Amino acid sequence: MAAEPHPLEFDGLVKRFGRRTVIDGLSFTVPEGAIVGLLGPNGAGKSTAMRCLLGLQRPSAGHARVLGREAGQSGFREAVRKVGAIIESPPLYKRASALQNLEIRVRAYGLSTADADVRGVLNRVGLAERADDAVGDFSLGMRQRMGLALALVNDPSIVVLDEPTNGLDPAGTVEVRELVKELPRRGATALVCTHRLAEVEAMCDYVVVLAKGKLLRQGSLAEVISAAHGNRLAVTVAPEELETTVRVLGALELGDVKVADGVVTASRIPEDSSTVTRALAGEGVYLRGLSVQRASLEDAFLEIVEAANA
Amino acid sequence: MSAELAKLRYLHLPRWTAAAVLAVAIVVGLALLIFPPSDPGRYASTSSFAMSIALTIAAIVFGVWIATLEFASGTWQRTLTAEPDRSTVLLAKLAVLLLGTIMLGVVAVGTTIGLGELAASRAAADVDADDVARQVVAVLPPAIAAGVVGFGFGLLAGSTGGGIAAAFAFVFVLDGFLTQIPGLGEWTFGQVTGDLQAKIAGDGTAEHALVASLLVTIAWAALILAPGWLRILRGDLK
Repeated sequence: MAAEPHPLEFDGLVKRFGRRTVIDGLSFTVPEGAIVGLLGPNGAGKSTAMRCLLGLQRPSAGHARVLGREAGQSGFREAVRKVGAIIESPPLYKRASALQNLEIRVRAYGLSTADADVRGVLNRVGLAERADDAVGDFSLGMRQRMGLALALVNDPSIVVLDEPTNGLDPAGTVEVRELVKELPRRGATALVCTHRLAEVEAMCDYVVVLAKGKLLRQGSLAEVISAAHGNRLAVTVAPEELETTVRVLGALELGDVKVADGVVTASRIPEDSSTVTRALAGEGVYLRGLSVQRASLEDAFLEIVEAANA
Repeated sequence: MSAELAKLRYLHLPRWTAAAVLAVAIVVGLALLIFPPSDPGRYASTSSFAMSIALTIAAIVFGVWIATLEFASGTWQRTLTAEPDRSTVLLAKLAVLLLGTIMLGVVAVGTTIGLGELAASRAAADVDADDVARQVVAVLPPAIAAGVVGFGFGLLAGSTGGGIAAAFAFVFVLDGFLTQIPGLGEWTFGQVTGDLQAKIAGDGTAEHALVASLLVTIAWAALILAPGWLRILRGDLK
């Protein structure tokens, strides 16, 4: 029996615009029921990859598949109709009201507004009271919510969101995060592209990091953080003792030892921290503090991208 | 097609275009009522001329608008996730363009004919009502063809302003220059659509037979549609 296709799959995807290569051999899959964060600096090729996936842009080489089908293949229509997407800015007819925008969307699926429960969707994104207002009069955050409503109104099994919290206030950001986190419980899979790394940490299971169109790192959130940087041992001492401390930690083979902001950090954390305190006391250095610095996705992301640029 | 019809209903430009054409129909009718022409033949020719210009311009604007709406709104992504077959999307748009132009044309032409006949009867002018109707109805096919030309240039330009400029330049300027080319001059877009109109109006000024005019009009429409259509089928969209 053939294996079920992944909801989303990139297989050696290459996209060139003239001589400029925007995506260079991108390969990764999005497992069913996962929320995957697609990260990368501006110009990394994230939006282009999403457009190739949806058949808006033609790959120069390789494949971008939705449920095992790529644009132009039989079965792609059925596959892509299970996707709800916002790429870059929310796709809105600004002169039409929120309700009319949703009606146009659901009619494209051959549904009526009653079938698709458009008012229910507007309620989910917090726009029920503005249903009859022209979306051109909406604030940036409200347009973003409207984009989400459009992405969710066909009850998609795959959701592709490019900067879904762009322009939202903190409360709106939390609401959108909860909406995205709810997707797997509804049986949906999500690919989320955002520069807000704290959001990715809060809602994604897996992370894919791109730069200059190339895949730099992929894995679970914990794997990506720990492989790139990981938690660090942080030792606080008097300024005149920094040099001695660096030498002692180096001698203890605690990996990469650095000084930043008056704190000495080491990439390996010893099982017994007393080995550090004893070794430093032996050199006449008395600790002012000893802790574990928790690495963030932001630390890991910056390190991965800087390493790629170097 | 249902989604395209909903766009027609809910977005402003088609409504304003239709309102402008109907306003022209009403203004022309009122003008004939208030200032009855001394020549009875002017009832038909004035109505026909006004409707011809108004419907041609409206059809071009409407054709360009429906072709470029997704470019202008950045909505190709939502259109193509619902229907990824680009030809199907373009055919639906073309069908709505034809339907919309015909509906607007019928209403505007009906208004013009009604007001023209009312004006003639009030002025006790000796006007052949069938002649008025024939002459005004005859403006519809050239208007439809102009709409398709607008659609083709809209697809090619990918912008509403560019599409309108290109379509107007072709219909009102370039086509006139083409008449100077020996051989082609007799078969320009303006010539064959004019012949089509003349044949339907029965005014005896047509150079070509109805079928020949119709076929060459369709050929012109196809020629202008093809590059933009291929651009959409093969190109990258946002």
